[in-house]
Amino acid sequence: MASTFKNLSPDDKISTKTLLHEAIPITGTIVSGTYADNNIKNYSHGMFQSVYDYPYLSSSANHIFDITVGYSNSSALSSSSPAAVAQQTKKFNLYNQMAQVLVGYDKTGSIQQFDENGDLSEGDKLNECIFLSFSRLLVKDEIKKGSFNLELGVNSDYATPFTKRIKVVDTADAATSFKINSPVGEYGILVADSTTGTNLTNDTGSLASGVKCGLIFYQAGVAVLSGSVFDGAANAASTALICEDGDDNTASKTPTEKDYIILVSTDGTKRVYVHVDSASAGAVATGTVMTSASDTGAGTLGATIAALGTCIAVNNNLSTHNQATILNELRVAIGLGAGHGAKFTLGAALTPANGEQSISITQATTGHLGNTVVTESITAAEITIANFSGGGDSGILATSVGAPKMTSGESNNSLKSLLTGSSISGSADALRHRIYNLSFNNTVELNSTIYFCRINHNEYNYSSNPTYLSSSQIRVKTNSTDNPVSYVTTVGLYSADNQLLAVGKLSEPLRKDPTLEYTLRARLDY
Amino acid sequence: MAFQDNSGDIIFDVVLTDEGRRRLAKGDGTFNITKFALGDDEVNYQLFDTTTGSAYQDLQILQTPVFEAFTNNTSNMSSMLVSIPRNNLLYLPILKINELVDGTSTSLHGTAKAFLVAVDGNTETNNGSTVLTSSIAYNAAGKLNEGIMLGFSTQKNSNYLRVDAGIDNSAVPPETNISDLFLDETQYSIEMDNRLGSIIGRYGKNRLSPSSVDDDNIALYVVSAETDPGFVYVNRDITTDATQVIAGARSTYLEFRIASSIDLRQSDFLFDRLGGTSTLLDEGGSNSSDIKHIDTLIKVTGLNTGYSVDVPFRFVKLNQ
Repeated sequence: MASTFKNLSPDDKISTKTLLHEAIPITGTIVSGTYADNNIKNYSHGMFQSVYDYPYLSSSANHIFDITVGYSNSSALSSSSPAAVAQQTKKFNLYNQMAQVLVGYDKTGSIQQFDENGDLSEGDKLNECIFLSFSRLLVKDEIKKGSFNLELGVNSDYATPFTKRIKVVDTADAATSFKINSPVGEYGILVADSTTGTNLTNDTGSLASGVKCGLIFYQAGVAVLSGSVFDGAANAASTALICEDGDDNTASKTPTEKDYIILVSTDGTKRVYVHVDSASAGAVATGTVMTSASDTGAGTLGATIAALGTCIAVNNNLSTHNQATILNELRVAIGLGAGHGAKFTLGAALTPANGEQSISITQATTGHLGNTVVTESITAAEITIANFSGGGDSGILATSVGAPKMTSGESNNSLKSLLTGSSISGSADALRHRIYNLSFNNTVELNSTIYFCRINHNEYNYSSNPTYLSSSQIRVKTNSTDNPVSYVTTVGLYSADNQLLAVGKLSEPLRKDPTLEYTLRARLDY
Repeated sequence: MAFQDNSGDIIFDVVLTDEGRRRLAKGDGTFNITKFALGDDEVNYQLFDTTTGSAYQDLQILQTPVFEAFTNNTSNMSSMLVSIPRNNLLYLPILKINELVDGTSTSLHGTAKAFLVAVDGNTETNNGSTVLTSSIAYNAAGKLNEGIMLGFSTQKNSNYLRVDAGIDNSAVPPETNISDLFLDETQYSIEMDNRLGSIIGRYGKNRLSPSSVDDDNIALYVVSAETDPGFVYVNRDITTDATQVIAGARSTYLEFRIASSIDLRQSDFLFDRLGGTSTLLDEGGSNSSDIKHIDTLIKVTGLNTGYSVDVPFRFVKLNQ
């Protein structure tokens, strides 16, 4: 009996699983530069920023990843005045959202924080984070372990961020050493592994084996960067009281009655130091907490100055005291409990002398929050004081290596200040500006069924092709003793009810005659 | 679809068809590959040159570019390769529409070159009117017009389609027992658009149920001589008279007609979407009636020999 179908036996089918990997290189200029940010999509809700590989209004654009930032309720930033913190609630919410999805809950149902080393029971937590969520188009089934590589520019000059770079990678042994205590699958530890442009150092010296700086969730396709990546070493902000000529007591070169200086410490304590003149009887003593009616010598403090904050008297004879003596008295007032007391570390008192002299004022508490603004109303140009500066938070980068300045704005000079001072999209902009290159390999898990279509020598040697016959006579034979010949171009895989479920095509016709046998291996991937 | 790159090693490109994906999505176990078949749709065997040396005989065939796989399940495997235990055959059976066997009852319509299926009673007889009307099924003498099938009045005698199988060459004379050649055709598949109609027996006394309907509404019917004697008959006629279209050894023949679908009877939607308009002579034979029509093909395949034939059908409905 002639036949066109051949049944597949159980031995003709086999199921396999194959892992395929693709390299995903993302050049930093695509992320920031090439398309003048037309490939960056910001949303009215401001919760995250999307990065495309082409201007996103084009139908050719592909979404490649999202950037957002957040910090936990345990972060030092969370104590910042809400009025001074942009989108604080959203940043809390984002941190918690990411944490609940990626880290999960503890036994009480509370959201757990990201942990530096994956041991949730102890160790440092990642309180301030940058989240890079990669699109499924890139990640496919998962990021291949050990392939993540993010190179970041850490130079202090915002205009030339890539002069100094660090490389954030998952650990070299990530393929065999990863964590599984996440609700979303496996994750690894990110470390700052090597540098370009300079040796990576921190306050303790060279980083030979890398420093933990984040987490990479392989199946979820999310990289969590710790805020420490961009933070400089822990430094206290400082400034100095400077006088042009310490032994000069010319009245026009010293403060006048009711001139004041406003200082703010790291914790936000503000004091208004007001000069009162002892040349007139009744002026209140140094360290007196003043009211609007307090005697300042010739007059009273008045409501305007009193409204500036807690006013502390600095008593000098403004007609006879030289500049150094006046600064010394100001130093005394600052050091009193009514002033800033221990919140500032003050330089030594001056011995009046000819020439410029100064008294340093250093925030007792380190951190960027010490970089406060100094306000003063001293009319004499000979006595000056600048804003506090140089404050920084602890991190993996020494100030000399990677300055913490994240954006071109002077006030945003560290990641943490950026997190508090900028919107989420502003933080994302700053991060993109510092992405030099980003690459990883993805993984696709291919489940395949292979059908072995075995064609024996005595099978499929004839064809039902209309051109095969001429008046029912086979064209490829002259005599009945000639071998029949056919040509295979297509393999159809059928269900029992004769429906074509899959079809395979050969790239060229395959000759079949009774002298030939084939096994065609049709693989269907799912 | 593009051609495949045939410049290097042979590539075997396999894809699921749309029907395969549909069954996979259904998740009801109907996606189950149990057998395979081979096809040679692109091959033109007329290029095989038996007059030259063996190295050159199929040179042009082997250079034939092959398309990428179509994902439409009905667009592939138009012609299949056949396994026959004997290698010394010089003739193979074919399928052939028999328009000669029963007067004009099995003929295609003369001008439409297709079988016409009148889909409703109005188109057949103006719903039984006894005066000359605009209906197109019968002539003034009350005889069914050539090529017209009654798709609505399925109980009445109607024209029908007959497809004969056998070797169309007198070199293998009709008295040859085709079973001895392993070339008997015992079962057929019929593929037609399920939205337009269904398969019924020649006498309208039995109907077939499709074994499956695919994602494109193509219904697949399978009939065999064993289980469907009202459709498949053994052709025992060994004469050479004019009613036989197979010149040589004969196998079986298939007879059926079409019942129009409810959709076509009650709505013009499919006619407006898939069809066109034309005219046919009315019952009086002198005036033209405006009709709506849908042209389609019904594919009949011999499941043993793989040979297939596409039969043109036109579903017609008075345009009123």
